[in-house]
Amino acid sequence: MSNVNRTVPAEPARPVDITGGGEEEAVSTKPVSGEDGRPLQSKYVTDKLAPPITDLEGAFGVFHRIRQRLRAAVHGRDDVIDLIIIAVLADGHVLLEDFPGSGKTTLAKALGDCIIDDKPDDNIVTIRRIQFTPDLLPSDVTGTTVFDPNTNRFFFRPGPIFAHVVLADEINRTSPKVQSALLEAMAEKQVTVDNRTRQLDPFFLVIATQNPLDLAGTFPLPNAQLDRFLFKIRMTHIAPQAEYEILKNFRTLKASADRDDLPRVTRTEILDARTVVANQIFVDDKVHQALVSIGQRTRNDERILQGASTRALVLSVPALQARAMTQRRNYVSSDDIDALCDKIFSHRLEFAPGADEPAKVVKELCGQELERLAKGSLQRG
Amino acid sequence: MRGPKRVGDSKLRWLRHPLRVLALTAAAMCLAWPLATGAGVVSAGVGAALGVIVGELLGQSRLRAPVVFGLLAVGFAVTGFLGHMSTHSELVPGMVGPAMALKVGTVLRFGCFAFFPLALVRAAAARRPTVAALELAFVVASLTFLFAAHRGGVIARPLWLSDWAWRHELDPANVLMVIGAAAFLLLAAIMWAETGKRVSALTALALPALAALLISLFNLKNLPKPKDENELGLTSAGHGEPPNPTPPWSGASGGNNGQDGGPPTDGGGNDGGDGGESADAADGGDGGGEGADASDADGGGSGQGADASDADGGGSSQSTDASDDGGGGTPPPQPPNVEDPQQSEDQKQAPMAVVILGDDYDPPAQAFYLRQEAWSQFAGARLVATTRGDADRDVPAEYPTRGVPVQDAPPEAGRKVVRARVVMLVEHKRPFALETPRAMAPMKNPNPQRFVRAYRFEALSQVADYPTLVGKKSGNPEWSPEVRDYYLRPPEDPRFAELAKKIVSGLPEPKRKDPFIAAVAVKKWMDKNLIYSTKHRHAGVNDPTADFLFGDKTGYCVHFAHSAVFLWRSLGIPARIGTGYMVNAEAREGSTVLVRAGDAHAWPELYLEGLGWVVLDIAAERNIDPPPKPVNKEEEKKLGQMAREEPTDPLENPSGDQILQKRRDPSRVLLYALVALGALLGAFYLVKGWRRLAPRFASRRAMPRVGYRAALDVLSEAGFTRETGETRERFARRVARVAPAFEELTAMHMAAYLGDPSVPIAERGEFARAAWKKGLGDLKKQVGRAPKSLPLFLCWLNPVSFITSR
Repeated sequence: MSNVNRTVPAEPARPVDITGGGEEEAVSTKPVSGEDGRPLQSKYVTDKLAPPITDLEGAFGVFHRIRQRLRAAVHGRDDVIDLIIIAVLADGHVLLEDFPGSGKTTLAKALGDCIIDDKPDDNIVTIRRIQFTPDLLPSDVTGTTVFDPNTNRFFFRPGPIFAHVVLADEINRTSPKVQSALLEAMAEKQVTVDNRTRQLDPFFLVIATQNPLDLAGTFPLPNAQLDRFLFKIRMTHIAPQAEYEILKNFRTLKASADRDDLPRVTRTEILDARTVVANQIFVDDKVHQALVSIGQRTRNDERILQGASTRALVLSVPALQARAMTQRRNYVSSDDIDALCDKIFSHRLEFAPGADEPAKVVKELCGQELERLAKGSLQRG
Repeated sequence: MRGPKRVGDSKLRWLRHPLRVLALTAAAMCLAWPLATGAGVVSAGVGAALGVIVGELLGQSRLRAPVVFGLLAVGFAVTGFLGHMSTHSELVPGMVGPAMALKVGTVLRFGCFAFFPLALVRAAAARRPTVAALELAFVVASLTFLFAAHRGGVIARPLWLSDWAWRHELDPANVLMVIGAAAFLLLAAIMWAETGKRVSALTALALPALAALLISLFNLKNLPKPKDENELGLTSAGHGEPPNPTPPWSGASGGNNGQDGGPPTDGGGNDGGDGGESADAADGGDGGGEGADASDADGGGSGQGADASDADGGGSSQSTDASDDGGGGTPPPQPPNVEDPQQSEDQKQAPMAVVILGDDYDPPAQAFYLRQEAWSQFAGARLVATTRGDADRDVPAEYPTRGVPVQDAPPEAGRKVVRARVVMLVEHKRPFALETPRAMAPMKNPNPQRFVRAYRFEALSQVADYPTLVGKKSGNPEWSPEVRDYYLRPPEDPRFAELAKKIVSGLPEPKRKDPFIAAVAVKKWMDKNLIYSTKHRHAGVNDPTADFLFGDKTGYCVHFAHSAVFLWRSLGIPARIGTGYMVNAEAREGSTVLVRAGDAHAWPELYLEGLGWVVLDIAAERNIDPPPKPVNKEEEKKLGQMAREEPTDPLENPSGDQILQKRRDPSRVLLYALVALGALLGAFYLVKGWRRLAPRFASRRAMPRVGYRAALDVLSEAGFTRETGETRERFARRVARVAPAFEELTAMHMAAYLGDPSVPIAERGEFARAAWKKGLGDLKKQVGRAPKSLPLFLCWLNPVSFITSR
């Protein structure tokens, strides 16, 4: 499985003429299908657009459907599932710090599985997994131009990064060159190969993982790259009860992973939901001020060498909005900050040696600000 | 991810172990106390503490119940056998000696009886919590056992407690209430802890504060204060009806036996009891006090039997004085000193008050008559204090709280202004003053540790010699006919009039008409023919005066005074009895006059026009009583010095409230503290009440804020408070298990706070008053129904809950 996903798509992508018509994006006009007539990119492809999502109820429906499917596939990870869906809806990437065999792939696969590609002709599949190793090359990620002796032409063969959901496994095992190839893709949603820039889909999500313990021979991610991840989620082993249930129902669980009775969501619906969340969730000035104050606190604290960047604060707003939506609220509340602050901030800060656990310091800094917010709510005016 | 905090967890829950050990140790010691010596009590306490600890450990161990019980039973048998053997076999005494063996036996037996049963119960309770009720029952039973003597509301019981309280100048009623409150709190705390009820520490603190406030309120308002003759023994609790130094007569102060002339012994019993206390109080609380107090309680309960122990009390307190001056006594000077027959020699020596004369005064009667009360109203066979508003107004009935003139002051002719100060060592019901006072004023207590009260008076005292009184008319022309008749009301017995006529008939014709000469004739006749003795009480007869005068002619001051007044009245001379103290003129030391309990006296007075009431005491020539001890001049001097000192305590405010005056310093500070506490509590409750009621009056705009505040207060009372840094939503989720309605309220509150303000308030549901009203009602119901919370009314008691609600 990992071999297949490592560098090339499971099935050969359709060749694209790289010299043709100045068309930057590799877009095919015909429905994509293999020899047997099945769609190439995904099992679930549709040309029909679902009715547009225009309100928070619809957005919550999207959230709810994704959550239902993920929960059915992955047990004991409800908190991580919620965070990943928030990242999806906030247009952010996720770094999972986790041990091998803790369900990352299952999670990512389930996420890819619940998305219906309703733009099947753009050569972008729903999910790809890249296993990062020290000898990986950037072109293994982004794709490369290949000479076709039949036509005497070079054509671009897209890398696994051309997917809606990219699972970048053990991202710190590869060389900085490959890591930086991800950089552009994550920040700009575009890939430049052979000096030609190709757009990725607006729905582009990287779920990267790294092993927190086994650091020998790794290239730790630079801060600049860490800053591009919306969340760093430190996963722990699941509760014994959930583990016990997994063992007990292993077979049925596996079978139910691609259940068709639970509804899926289309790519457009997710994009619509993103818009709705950004536009319709109200962010009070007090919340903005609290975020700024939190930023200030991280910069003034002695235990922190490098405080939170402005980008961190900017990225946090859509995340807070998405989280508010998942709680069926139409405004961002202090509870959202409380729930997300350590996931948003702790990987972006550079801590002085000997400082406490990062999450603890961040919680403490945010706690002071949250207390002020909470106290303000009982004040007149 | 941290698991959500368990809602039912109480912060105080760990307290249940030390509390339980404490309570059961105390209970075991209470039970052992009356039964064992010191070693036994300590052994019972240690055994109980160890038993509880071991029982808890055994209960939590994995041993099966029969094994645990078997172990304990075997241990019980073995230890009990060892204890038995240590005294009943010859082995142990032979080895360590009999005294040690007895001790070992006691320790083993009490320790074993405390340790094993408690360990057994504890082990069972650790597995089945309901068994803990047995432990509580044990605590309650031992406490009840200890205070069993208190049953029926007898405040002075148990004696060991009231003795201790008296000695430390505390009110046993207060001590008992404090003990009761403490026991209640301890038991409540244990019960809360055992059942795992949530209770905030502040609630636990508020309860004793409230209890203290209640106790002090009771004291201030005198609500439980019994009547003078009440058997509860509260009488002497510092509210001071206490020592009644008036001469002995049945119901001297209450007049309860007026009609039938009731048995003076009973009254004497009461008086004696009071006297015992006065000795104690004057004594300042050395060993003598205990006996006297104990006997006071007895006297209150049974009426008799006080005498003997009174004598004991007085005896130990004053014995040194008595032996110092023993045998040096001089015969009693004129006029006769009529003692209270109930008092022992030592009792009579007890100092009651000190009078400091400000002006030199030499009384023509060779004695200072300090009048406290006047008896003029004829009531069957005897005279009692007047009930008329227009008679005897020259005798002040109450202590002055400011300088006041006395009504019906006597005319100045034949009298001299005498200013004096009175410092009391024993609380008296009424003030007394040298006859006849013109004005009285309060004074600073020169030494609150020693004296209970001080005041000044200004008297117009008689200086005119008795011979100059001849020729004066009797009575006051300003009197109304009713008042004159009142003072002339003779007894019904015709023998008095006959005797009076017979006495006067010996006088020459012109002199017979002169009231004073006639009065003196009667006096002379009585001096000659009557015999003074305190032994002859004429008890149990209908008319003690007639029994005295026409019977054995032997009696004491009260009989003399009644006889004289009745005879004078029969002759048409207005007369009454004055009661109080009489101190011989020689007994004074410089300007200091020491008043002792034995100086209590009753004397006849007659009214002469232009002079007022004149004391004309009877001095029987024949006195079959032993002569009284002379005044201890040294003590008199010392007390006089102390009485002259300037007050050192600035708090002492003689014009202030009488209650404050009676209180000693520590208790006054306590009183202020309690008043301050009360004010503080009141303010807290006001704030609390307002915050709770505010949602009813809040506008739509303010509703989310005010309503949420009220909701937080409700939760805070039940022990739920948001922690610092905890968001409101997270707090709501924590509480949701108990109060789901709170989550909705929190959502509404936060929506109002952080929601989009551009939407008009009228369209926003979170501002709806009805929703808030319903939510708050649901919340109260849910919190009240919560399985592990106190009843709401107890929650409400916490005055500071709103401070912790954030």
